Amino acid sequence: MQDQLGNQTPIPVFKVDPILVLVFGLITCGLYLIYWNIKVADVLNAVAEKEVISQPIAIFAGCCMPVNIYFYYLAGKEALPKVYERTGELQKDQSTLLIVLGLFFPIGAAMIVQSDINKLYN
Amino acid sequence: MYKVISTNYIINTKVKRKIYGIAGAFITLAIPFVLLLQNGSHHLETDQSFCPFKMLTGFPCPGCGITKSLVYFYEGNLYKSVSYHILGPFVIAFAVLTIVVLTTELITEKEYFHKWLYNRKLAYGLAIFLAAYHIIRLVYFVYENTWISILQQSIWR
Repeated sequence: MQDQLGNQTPIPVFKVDPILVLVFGLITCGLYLIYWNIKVADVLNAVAEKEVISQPIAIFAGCCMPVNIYFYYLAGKEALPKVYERTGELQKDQSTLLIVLGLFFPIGAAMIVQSDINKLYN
Repeated sequence: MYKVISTNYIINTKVKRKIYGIAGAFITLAIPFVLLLQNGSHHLETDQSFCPFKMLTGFPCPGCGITKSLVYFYEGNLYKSVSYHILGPFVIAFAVLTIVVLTTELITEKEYFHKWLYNRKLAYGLAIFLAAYHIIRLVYFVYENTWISILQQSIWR
């Protein structure tokens, strides 16, 4: 399913309530987060118009802590600023917050990223 | 001029990413080795897991057991290593390969194995395998543990 935002690159639609990310993540014992990583990587790559997060990194991030931290570093440093650019929000570097959350509470980091991505579809 | 700056930026970013990749792979290999040196009295088997999901719920996440798997692989106990996580030995091979390939890429300024590393089918295959393995492991985990013992594996005991 593709969505066209203005005349920019089509962005895959992946709009999920951040609370549901938490709920699904807990119910599936983390399995949902692998799927979530893959889908979010697709969206972020489309927004950045280049491959910021490759599929293997997205998948390994679901099971390997150092890769998970790298995933959130890439998301916060290179992909989310492009999301803010599209949504007209204040440019900010979320990488430190996401890395710390990714280390101690990965679902929390996922909820923040999902919340920012959802603004693309408003 | 802008083109030159942009090209330099891309090259620098690529080099930076490769250095991060080498550092990440090195940390992945080094942490279990340090744990192995500290595991004289075999307390690792009963220690509280540092996985945030395990600490919160008592249930394992898809990556739970990889560190212990690496520790027992270093100890030479392949059976125990695989019993903690089937992908443990694979992680070691992948981390070593990452260090070798990325270091070679930095030295030669060429790129190797990118066809395989960025292969979507391979990545999805791995994801499906990991998901299937995790589901089977969860079923066994619930079957072998009581709710009280699951709770005892979390921080809420």
